[in-house]
Amino acid sequence: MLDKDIKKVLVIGSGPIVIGQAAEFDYAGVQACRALKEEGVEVVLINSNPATIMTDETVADKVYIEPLTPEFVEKIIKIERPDGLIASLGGQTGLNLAVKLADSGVLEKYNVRVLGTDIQSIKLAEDRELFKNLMEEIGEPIPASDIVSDFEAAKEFADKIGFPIIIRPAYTLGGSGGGIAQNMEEYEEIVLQGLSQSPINQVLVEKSIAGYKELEYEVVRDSSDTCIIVCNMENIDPIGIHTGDSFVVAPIQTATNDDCAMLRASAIKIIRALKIEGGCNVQFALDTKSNKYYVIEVNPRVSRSSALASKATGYPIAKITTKIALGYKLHEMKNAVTGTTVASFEPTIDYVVVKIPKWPFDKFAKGDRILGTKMKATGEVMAIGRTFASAFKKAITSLENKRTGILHYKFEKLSDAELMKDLEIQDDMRIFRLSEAISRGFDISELNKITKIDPWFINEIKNITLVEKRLETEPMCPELYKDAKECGYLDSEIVACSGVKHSDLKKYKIEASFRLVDTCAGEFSSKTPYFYSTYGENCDLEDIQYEDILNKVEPKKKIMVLGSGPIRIGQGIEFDYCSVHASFAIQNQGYESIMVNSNPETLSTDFDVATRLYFEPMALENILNIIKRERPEGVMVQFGGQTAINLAQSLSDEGVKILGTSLDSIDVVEDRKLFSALLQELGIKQPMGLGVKNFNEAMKALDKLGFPVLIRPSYVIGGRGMQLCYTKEEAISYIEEAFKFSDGHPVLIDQYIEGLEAELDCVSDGVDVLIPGICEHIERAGVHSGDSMSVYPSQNIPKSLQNKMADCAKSIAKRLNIKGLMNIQFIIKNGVLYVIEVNPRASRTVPIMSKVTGINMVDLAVKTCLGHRLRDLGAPVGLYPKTNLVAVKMPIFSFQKLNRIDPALAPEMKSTGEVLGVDTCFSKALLKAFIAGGYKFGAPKQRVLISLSDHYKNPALPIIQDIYKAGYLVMATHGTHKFLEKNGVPSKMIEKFMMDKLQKRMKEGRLSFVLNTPKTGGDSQKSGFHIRTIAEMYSVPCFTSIDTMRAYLKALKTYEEKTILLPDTISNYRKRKFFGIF
Amino acid sequence: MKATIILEDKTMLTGCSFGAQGTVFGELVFNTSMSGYQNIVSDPAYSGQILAMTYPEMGVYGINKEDFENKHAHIRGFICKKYNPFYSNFMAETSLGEYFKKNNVVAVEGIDTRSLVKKIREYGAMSCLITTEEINEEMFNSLKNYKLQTYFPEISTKKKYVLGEGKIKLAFIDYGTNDDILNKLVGLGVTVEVYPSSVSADEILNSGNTALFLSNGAGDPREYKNELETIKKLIGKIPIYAMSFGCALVGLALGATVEKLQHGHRGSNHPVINLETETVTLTVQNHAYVLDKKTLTDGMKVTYLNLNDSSVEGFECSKLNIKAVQFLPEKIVPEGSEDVFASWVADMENNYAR
Repeated sequence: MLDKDIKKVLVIGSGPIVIGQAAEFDYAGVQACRALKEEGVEVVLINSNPATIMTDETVADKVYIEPLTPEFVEKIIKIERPDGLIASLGGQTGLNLAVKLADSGVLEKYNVRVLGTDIQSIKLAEDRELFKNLMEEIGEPIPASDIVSDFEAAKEFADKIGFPIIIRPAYTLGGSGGGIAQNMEEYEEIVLQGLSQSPINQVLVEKSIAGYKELEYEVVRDSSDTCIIVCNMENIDPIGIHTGDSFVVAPIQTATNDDCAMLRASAIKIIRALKIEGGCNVQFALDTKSNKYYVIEVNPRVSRSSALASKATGYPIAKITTKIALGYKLHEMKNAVTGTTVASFEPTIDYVVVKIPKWPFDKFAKGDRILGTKMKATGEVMAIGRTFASAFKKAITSLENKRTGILHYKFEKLSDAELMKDLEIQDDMRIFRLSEAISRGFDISELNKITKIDPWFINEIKNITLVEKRLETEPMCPELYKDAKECGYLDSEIVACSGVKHSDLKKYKIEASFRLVDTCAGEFSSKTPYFYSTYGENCDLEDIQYEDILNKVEPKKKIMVLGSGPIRIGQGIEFDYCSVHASFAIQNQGYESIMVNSNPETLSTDFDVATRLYFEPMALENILNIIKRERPEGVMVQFGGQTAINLAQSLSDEGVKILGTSLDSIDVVEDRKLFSALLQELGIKQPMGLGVKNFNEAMKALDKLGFPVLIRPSYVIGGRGMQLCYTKEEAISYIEEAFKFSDGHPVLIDQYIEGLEAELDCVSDGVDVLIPGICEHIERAGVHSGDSMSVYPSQNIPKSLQNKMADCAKSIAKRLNIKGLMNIQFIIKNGVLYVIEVNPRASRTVPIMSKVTGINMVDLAVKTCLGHRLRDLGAPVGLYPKTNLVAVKMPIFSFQKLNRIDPALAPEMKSTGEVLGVDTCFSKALLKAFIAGGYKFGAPKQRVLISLSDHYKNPALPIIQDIYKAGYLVMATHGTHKFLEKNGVPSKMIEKFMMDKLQKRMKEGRLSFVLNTPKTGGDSQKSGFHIRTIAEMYSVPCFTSIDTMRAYLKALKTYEEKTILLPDTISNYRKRKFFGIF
Repeated sequence: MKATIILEDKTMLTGCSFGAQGTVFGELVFNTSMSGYQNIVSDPAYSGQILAMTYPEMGVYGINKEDFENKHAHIRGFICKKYNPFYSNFMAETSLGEYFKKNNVVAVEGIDTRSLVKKIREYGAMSCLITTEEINEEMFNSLKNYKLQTYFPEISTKKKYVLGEGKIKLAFIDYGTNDDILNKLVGLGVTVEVYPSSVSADEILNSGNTALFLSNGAGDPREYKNELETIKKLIGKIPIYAMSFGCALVGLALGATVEKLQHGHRGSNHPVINLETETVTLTVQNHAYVLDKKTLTDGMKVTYLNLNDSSVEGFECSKLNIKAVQFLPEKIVPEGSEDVFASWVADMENNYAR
């Protein structure tokens, strides 16, 4: 039963989005907060990630957007005095923090109970050695392994066991720092790297069982030892590829009933031995030739897999975990889906679920695509189908790649022998290589031998592939059309493959129907508003409509919200924040909200968020199918990022009403010519730019524009393939590549104005605009806005210019009749204001601006989309006055997970997440942002390495002087050394980057940071790239913009002045004294 | 090849045949397990029934020797969404389709099984036929006049036999049990003397066994008139343990009544609470008849309840030494979970062993 002594609970979030820790913890955290509030418990929340929904003041009672460090959490505990904290909901970050707080005695000191799974259990599961001992004790098999703290011990193990060996560092998320070694050389490298990345300098070395089936069980246990399996899952990729990078299917397909029962029993035995209270994930390896199995890993917490299991079955694991932490038993809770049965049951499903990771390699063309034990995917898609084939095909569609079919991924050119050889490559394209091999008639057992993918899956992929082949070669007939639809092929694909006209397909009369996700395979009637599509079956939607008629429920008008699909660099959790808020706002306005999305990690795909949820690919046909059944008044596309915006035109062509800003206006800002004309008409300046189609045109354009310039392909997200060039040489070396990226579209060359960059978000009703505030970037223009640090309110922009920016926003909004959100980016140089970009949609900064100002921007935007005027709504208009809250946003990168990616800041976005430092003055907020970003202060000052491109030498001089004065010993590369010598700054010259020595220095922690501005082309590009990569690997701060460096030194100064940093809630910061005029 | 399903209410569905040829009649029921098709189709408790699986993908790991409940198939017909003749497992010897052909089970795939389930959920189990032949009027008439078989003496063993060599000797009346259950008892150190369902009370009482076990089975327990009389004669004279069908039988013998559930409990995720320990176990179930709680007679104490529909999942009658559960024991019991069979065997050992 509910423990009535618990009145206030601290929930720890998971911090910024990084590879291995994404939106799934926002989903879990929000469910937890809601569950706590449902029980009347006061919720105190801490998270440094401002883009999350959990940091909304409607979700928790007290919201602290503060660094996730033991020091800050302790201070918050001291202020709030919570009765308990839940450690298992904030990912690895939350878990590690809770362990630290327990170990340091903080929890005991303030009498904070750990609710749910306790610290001892967490340690048992997380500490490799304790876990290994426990498994041996209870007789559960684990692969031969050893825990080592140095390479000598690791070598001893390798000599005994032989290769291949898997290396896993302790306490790291997403397996960072791990890998599989085939020989001693690789082994040494990975072990040393793992040791440096593990917070406790421990790695597990383990006999590799690559090739086994990888199976997962999601178990929930309550304090009375009742255990249920929410879902079991099978990785289509065998052991050896991180589960986050694997294609996954739920439930298990290819293991027999007895094998499943055996693993179920083992999972339950383990969770009982660990005494976990709440959700937990157990991973197994199962031999393909016997019933032999191994326990691979246990996650004693809610995880990415549990989010997937929740979405796959409808069973809300995070919510149940929270209630268990509050004292409930499983059988004391209702099954939220059926509303009639109890929570202590095992969901059974009558469909198949497939998850496919979304990797950032389309963005990082030069990145290392090989998949292994280190996760590389930034996000994932999930699809539900009545059969494996349809779920699989729908998931591929959901990836939003250029191609949605399974063939023609440019492997046709390979010879059979080449293809056969390449099949061994374990990368993001392996499934498409496999289907190419299948289409050539390669033998299934042969393919199984090479890929270790189970023959049953290969056969299923074969069936899908053959349908595509038949579409290309056979005449269209009802049977073929039916097969294609049941396999998940879109009409657009069928048309493209077969050459049949779209209108001709209508005569086959095969329509999509929608089925319910109900946790019980239809055994009990359920009211979950959660659907997926299938073909050739009855529709469950009609049941609801029928019931509404029976109950004489007045039908409400409906509005559809399009989500943003999988999380990728440039399109992250902030759009989920916007979609979710849009759904709430729509409901508040008296409409039913219809949500469509394909991302299992997010809150938008929680069936509680919208009136009805459709888990579907974000493809035109899938959305039209839903519209046909639901008949919404219109669709809102401005909240789901580029994914949703890209669908607007084709939806409109099909007669669907787009609510909010008109398509014509969207066109104006997306079309360069129209946009330039608009700005000219409104008397707004913009940097000169030209579109060029070939090399000659490019040369002419460069002559006309002068330098520096920004070169980029058109039609890309997140500044992909964008390059800043200071000289003609640099431009020439890049332009060819840009043409390649552009795929036939023109390449754009713009004047680069090296000024101060700033941006604003606003809500417009077409007449008035509300601008919550203006953000100023720390880095000068040229760094992608998603990758630059920024500060709200702006610190260096005079009031007159701020007013001018507001006027710009107003005139653009009025001219384009913007209804809803708009984001404008500016450059200021020598007091002149230039507009560089206008986005007539939600932007990355909307959640931040909403939080720092307390204005629910999305709510207002929805209302203006529906035709309301801001003034009528009682909303303020114009530039909103600031308080003395200052917030500094810092981007967070995941380079440690991605090999061969240059960490240098560039016009192309690379960050995966962000943190926010909030305080009452810039210097404190800045220091908090650095701390939240993982920078350590207070360490002894060692040497620093400085290497600058010519362009930055002069502007960097005062900064380097500051570095020197701060007490660091400067090492510099040849050119930089000479420059410093001339300017009287002592430095030690190093030869052409003595990589080995530098690497050793970094490994041993004898290098404080690196300042290195990148250069395009030439040797120094390569060596700079190398040094930056090594710095990332050893977690040595690496500054690639002199502006970030300057900001760091400022933060350091604040730190060294012994400034006391205190946490406070975001609403308190806002409440403090106002200045400025309303 | 085409196969057609016709329901009592004249609903017709067509799909593809992948089993035996011909026409079969039976009671349409559904099972919600996501794996274990092989164990299910060979379970005698499905005698007389046409089974629809709610999980769509069937036949994935083929058919192997080890998973057999009772060697040959007992269902009459099999309905699923998707069958794929391609199978993959190191133990597999044949495909599900081949197995059906050999065992004369008519099977059909490509069916909207979810809609079938919704129909059964609403209207209750119904008669149905599956045919691979041309549809004719005669079929509709036969279906209209088809009487569900509710009595299955033929699925019991023909002759008495003995399994195991344990300390405890148990008389086991087979109403249509399966190997898993027998093996489990043997594994717990019990000598099991398996008797046909037609066994007399005297034969049991004279057998020198420590206790009596009433097995699972098929059909309507109320139709087992002679068998009930036998049990009535045994009550109080020998400790009785009963499961599933046997639980309903012994309840009837004690004077309680049974009722037929709207759509039966068939699946592997039924939550059952032990009222004494307040622990919950997820159980495998296959029954359509349950004891009516209101009619339990003096001395019958409910020990287990179904958490979904509050139906009786077990009772005991301590003064008559009777223990019974409606659910089936798990084949592999996770450590720390309640193992009903093990506790029964311990009970026999501690209290009744001579």
